[in-house]
Order: sequence, then structure tokens, then C-alpha cells
Amino acid sequence: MGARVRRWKAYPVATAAVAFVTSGAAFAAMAVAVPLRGETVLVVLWCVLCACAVGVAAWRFGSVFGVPFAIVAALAIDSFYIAPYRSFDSQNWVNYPVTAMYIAIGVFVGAILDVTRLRAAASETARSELAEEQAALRRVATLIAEGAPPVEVFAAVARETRNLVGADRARIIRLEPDGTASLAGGTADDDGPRPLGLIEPGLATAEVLRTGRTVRIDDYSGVPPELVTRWIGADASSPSAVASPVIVAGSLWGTVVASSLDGRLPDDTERRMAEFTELLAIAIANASSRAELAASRARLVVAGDQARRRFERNLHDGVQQRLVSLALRLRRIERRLPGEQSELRASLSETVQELNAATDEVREIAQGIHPAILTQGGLAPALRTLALRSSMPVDVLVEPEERLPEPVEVAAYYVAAEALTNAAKHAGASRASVTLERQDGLLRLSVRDDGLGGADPSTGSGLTGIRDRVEALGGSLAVTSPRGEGTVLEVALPVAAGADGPKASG
Amino acid sequence: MAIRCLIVDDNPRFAQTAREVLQEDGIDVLALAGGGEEAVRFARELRPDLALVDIDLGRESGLDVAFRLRAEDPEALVGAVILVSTHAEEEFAELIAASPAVGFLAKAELSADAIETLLGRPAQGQAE
Repeated sequence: MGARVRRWKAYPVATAAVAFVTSGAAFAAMAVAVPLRGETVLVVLWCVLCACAVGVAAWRFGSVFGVPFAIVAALAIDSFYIAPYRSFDSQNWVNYPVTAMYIAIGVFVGAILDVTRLRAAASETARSELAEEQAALRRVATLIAEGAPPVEVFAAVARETRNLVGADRARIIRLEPDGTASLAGGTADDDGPRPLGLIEPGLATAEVLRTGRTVRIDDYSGVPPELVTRWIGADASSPSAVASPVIVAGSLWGTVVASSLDGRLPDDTERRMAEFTELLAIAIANASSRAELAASRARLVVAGDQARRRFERNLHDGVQQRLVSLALRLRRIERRLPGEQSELRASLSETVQELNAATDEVREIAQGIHPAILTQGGLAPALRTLALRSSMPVDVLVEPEERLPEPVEVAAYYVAAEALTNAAKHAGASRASVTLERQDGLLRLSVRDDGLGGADPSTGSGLTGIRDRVEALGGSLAVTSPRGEGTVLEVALPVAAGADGPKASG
Repeated sequence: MAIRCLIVDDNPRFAQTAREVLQEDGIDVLALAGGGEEAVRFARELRPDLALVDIDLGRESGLDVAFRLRAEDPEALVGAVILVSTHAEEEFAELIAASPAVGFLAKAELSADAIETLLGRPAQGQAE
């Protein structure tokens, strides 16, 4: 389609000249080839043959050839067959320019018809391309509006690009600050976010980097096979690729690469990719900033947890050990005192008790900052210990006994702690249960109580904090709390890939 | 016959105080180990009757050290393990129960009497 569009731009002179010359030659050929005059059957046969020639010329080469061929045919028949009404008098020179003029008019009319037809076809193509592009953009925009995770948005962008240009595969490649690139998303099944390494010369992305514009690479023979495997796919036998720059906030963010595994991508791929990528840049920028936001949220939560843990450790290693040592020393002095010093002994004993009370207080504070058992034993024992410390009976059903990434353990622990505190303090529950299970890369925690219900996560500051924490790790929180029917709090946290924060998609 | 004891604690201040207190109570403190590796080495060399192991050894877990010291019972490196901590017993109740230790002592409660009670020996009636 693109080829057609370019052809009518280069139009009139050359094509029209060729049409004129061919038609003139056709006239001469027809004139010479006819030895018969006035025989009806032959005239009809000859007319059929002429009609075929005209049809083929119009169909194969466009109306610029069809129209003059038709005139040639008409003139030839008129001049040579329909005698005695008229005949081409080769002695009379006037007949030659008249014939040429007929053909010229034919070429002119044909050219006008041709141009009009090509224009209509081109605008039809453009319209349908635009419609396809808009539909594709709408799908991507809907995905973003639905709050789909960036990984999904990138995959969708790649899918739309591939479908739009009719490639075998498309990938969204992100440039990293250290000069390497990473895969943000793609259409192949295993196109998850992962680093791609250095951008070696010869790769389409390297060319985009060098030229700043859309490029095509049809020859990968100079690129080592393992690079082709990594950047296009192991199944690429004779790949061809077109890559377009993605410009976000004025700088090169990355590229969109469409590739064919075997054979050349169509001619107009560059143009379509360039146009579509320009439109996609907004979607990509959006997804990318969301990914960064999610990553920074996760970092904040993790940094906060680490600070709490450090604080707890400092208390434990410093003040607590000192207080305990002090108490032991005082007790030692107490025992050494001779029996007659009973008054001093009693006073010392009281001091030791006070000191132990202070130690207990510090221990409680430390425990509130970060529960030591979470570090020591992991989530399962920590939840059971939490249940034991609760003021009401709590059933604990924990399936995964294995250790999980620390941010996940800490988040799950705080969710359970907050829920149990709420149940006892505000909901007046008499019983509660905590269930923990691992399912399809998700850790599911649910806490139920038989209290008053009516908990609202949008007002309760405790629940809001928990929601923030859970969502920062890419998880979700659901609270069901009908009045008078208790509260169910359910949390799902991703464990497999996003455990250390959604860095991968950023 | 004095109890021969190894103290495993990453806090030198407390370990030193504990040694003084226990020595005075008639317990023979053989060595102070700051971590698991050291504890195993001393235990192999000295074969103590008892190891007092801090649950929270900073980078490592005293529970793991307890398992290493009492790993295979007949060949155990120490006669018994008592876990100690500045934390309260209830905080670690489950982990203590699952460990090969004979019991737990809060650091503030550390004394020869308490140790002997946990080991099931008759108190020797030192002091008090």
C-alpha cells in the first residue's frame, strides 16, 4: 500500500510518456497486423482480442494504460475494419497527428483516472490504518486506566505493535543509565522483564541510539548468533527488524522493536512503527513512571522496616544488655553483703527489681518496634506467638512454614497484628482466626473475628497504614465488615518475583 | 562437682558479667564464645556439661547454634544447652520448645540456682 502511495507522488511525466509510447506502438502493431477488411466474423474476433488487451492493460498497469489502449483499439478498428465508412489513409500525413492526439487525450484521461483512483485507495488505507491505530491505542489506554501493572501494559503495547505492523514479534526495550538495555515487555511467552546486557553494534536498538530515528535491519549475518537469540529469539532463522525510538520527556527512553523471524518485514513497517511509537510514548511514559512510583513506594516501606529493625537491634545490643548486666552485678553485690547489713540489702534488692522492671519496659518497646521472633523464626512462629499474646483465643492455621522474603513477612505480620488489635480493642471480638497460605506466587493471609463489624479501611488509620504497606509491595487488601457480623480481612501479597519490590518492571 | 559451662553470647559486656556471677556461684565457666563457630570449636575441645546460648547472636541464631552443639545426641558436644535472652520466654516459646535446649533463662534471672533447677540437679544452696 505504501508503495502505491509513493508511486502516485512520482507520477505524471514518466508514466504518461510510457503509456503514450506503448499505445502508439500498439496502434502501429494493430494497423500492420490486419490484412483483412470488412469480414464480420474476423472483425468481431479482433474486437474481442482488443477488449482483452485493454482489460489487461488497465488491470495490470492502471487506467493510464487502459484508456489509451481502448482509444488505440477503437481507432484501429475504425480505420481498418469499418471500411468503407472510414479508412486510415497512410498517404495523408494529417492522419498521423490526429491519431497521436487521440492517444495523447487517452493518456491524459487515463492519468487523471489513475491519480484519482490511487488517491482514493491511499486515503482509504490511511483511514483504516488510523482506525486500527486508534483502536490499538484505546485498548492500551483502557488497560492503563484500569490500573494494570506496568508489566502488563508493556506486554499489551508490544502486542498491539506486532499486530499493527504484521510482524512475528515485538518487544519494548528500555535503556538503562549504565549503557545496557533491559526488556520491559514483549509478545513472546517468555518475554518477562529481564536485563538484555550491552547494546552491541549491529542491533536495531544500537542503530536507533546512533541515529535517533526509526531504523530497519534486514541483515543480521554480522551479529553473533547468541545476540540474535537474546535480542530477537532463539527461533529466528533469518530475522529482519524495525526499531523505533521511544522519546519520553524529550529524551530517549528506549525502543520498540518489531521483528520477523524469517524474511523481510514489509516496506512500510518503518513508517507505521514511527507513527505508532510516537503515540505510544505517552502510554510507555505513564507505565514507566507508575513502575518507578511503585518501586519507590516499596523502597520506602522496606527502608522503614529496616530502620525499625536497626532501632530494635540497637536497643537490644545496647541499653538492654547494659541494664541486664547491671542487674546481675547489683545482685552479686547484694549477695556479698554481710548478713547484718539487712537494711542495705533490702534496698538493693528493691533497686534490682526496679531495674528489671525498666528492662521489661524497654523489651516491650523493642518488641513493638520490631518483633524479634520474626527475624529469628519467621512468619509462622511469629504469628503463633502473636496469637498467644492476644487477649482472646486466636486459632492460627499456617500452611507455609518456610521463610519468605523479609518485606513480605513483615507486611503479613503487621497486617495480622493490626487486625487482631482492632478485633480485641474496637470490635469487642471474643474469638479470632488467622489463616496463612501460599498459592500461585501469592501469600494469602486472612484474619476473621466475631466482633461488631463495621470496620472501614478508608477511615481507620491503622487499616489505611496497612493498605499502604500491602499495596506498596504490589499486594491487595480486602475488608469485609458488615455491621454485627464480624470482620474478615484478606490480604494477598506477591511472593515470587515482586518480593523485593517491583524493580523488575521499572 | 562444679558444672563446667560454656557461655555463647555476642555481647562481651554481658558475657563477662555472667562469667563473674556464675563463677562466684561455684559454676566453672570454661570459655566465652562470641558466635557459633567459636562455640563449636570450644565445645569440641573442652566438652562442657552445659552451654548457655544467647538466642539472638546478631547475625546468627542461637537456636541454630543449639542444634549444632546438641546435634546427634550420643556424640553431643555439650551435655546440655540452656537458651538465654534479654527477650521474654513467651516471645520465643515455640522456638524454644522445638529446640534441643533443656530450657530457657531470662538474662536478668541468670544464677547458679536457676541453672541447676533447669538441669534437674539439687540446688547447692549457695548464697541466699
